Amino acid sequence: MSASDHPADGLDDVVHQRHRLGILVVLAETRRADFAYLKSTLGVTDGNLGRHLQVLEEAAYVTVEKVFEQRRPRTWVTITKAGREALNSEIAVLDDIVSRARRSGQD
Amino acid sequence: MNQSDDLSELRRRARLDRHATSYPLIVIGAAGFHYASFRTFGWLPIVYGMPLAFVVVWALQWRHERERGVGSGHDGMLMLAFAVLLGTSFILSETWWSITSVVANLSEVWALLPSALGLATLGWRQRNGMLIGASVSVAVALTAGEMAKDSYLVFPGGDASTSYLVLLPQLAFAAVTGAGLLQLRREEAPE
Repeated sequence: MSASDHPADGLDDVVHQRHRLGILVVLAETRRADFAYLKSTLGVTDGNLGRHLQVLEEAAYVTVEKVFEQRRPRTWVTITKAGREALNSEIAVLDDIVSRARRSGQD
Repeated sequence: MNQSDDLSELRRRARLDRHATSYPLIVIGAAGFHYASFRTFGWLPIVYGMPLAFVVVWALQWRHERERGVGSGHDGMLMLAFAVLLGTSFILSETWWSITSVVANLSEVWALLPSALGLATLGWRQRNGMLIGASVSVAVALTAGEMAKDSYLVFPGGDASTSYLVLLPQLAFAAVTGAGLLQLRREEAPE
């Protein structure tokens, strides 16, 4: 196998990061979540989460909406169709890598 | 723990947090239990009642989203409510009963089937085994009840009896509600 057709080449650098992958997995299940929920679920700091969301938003994988609810600021993060597709593609590539590794382990 | 386990755990936690399983089981189970107690329906109550149960689930999830900050997913609950409304109306329509000889002899309790199909659709969209299992149990109970519709369970003393056509779907919906309540406890348990 040449280096160019290794399944790892299909990994998306934007998605293939532990916390960003986690954000997309949570949002794929819930469609949208607020900043505080993502922060507590993923166990990250405000600054860290904010940076990851910025990367995902720039890739158009999520939209970030800042609103006031009952006079309090709230940030909602919603997954986009492109975000879902990127997540599904990432999972497919990871599955492929794992299955290849298992096969090579059996040889 | 490897990465795929982490991701599965995150997805499981998010599903628990948004009450994706308990709300539909409790509300639709309770509504089905209520309607399954009748052998025949006045046309209006069930036609609007069962779709309303789906709307109630949507409203609960919407309220939960505002309070907890976790979204209600891509379940299309209001679309399902509309589909259940159409399905239930269609099954109970005079035209359907008069032109379809195959089902003409079926009991009106089958008007609960669209709700079970609604649960199945919800389960399929979420890849949620509990919801699919609930819908299958209701469908099996409807079929078994239909097959035994002329049999009655006589209660001790012999004064009261109930048709299996009523009893079996009612038991199935009661089990669905019970499973929903147990699931709600799991969803609200701290991890």
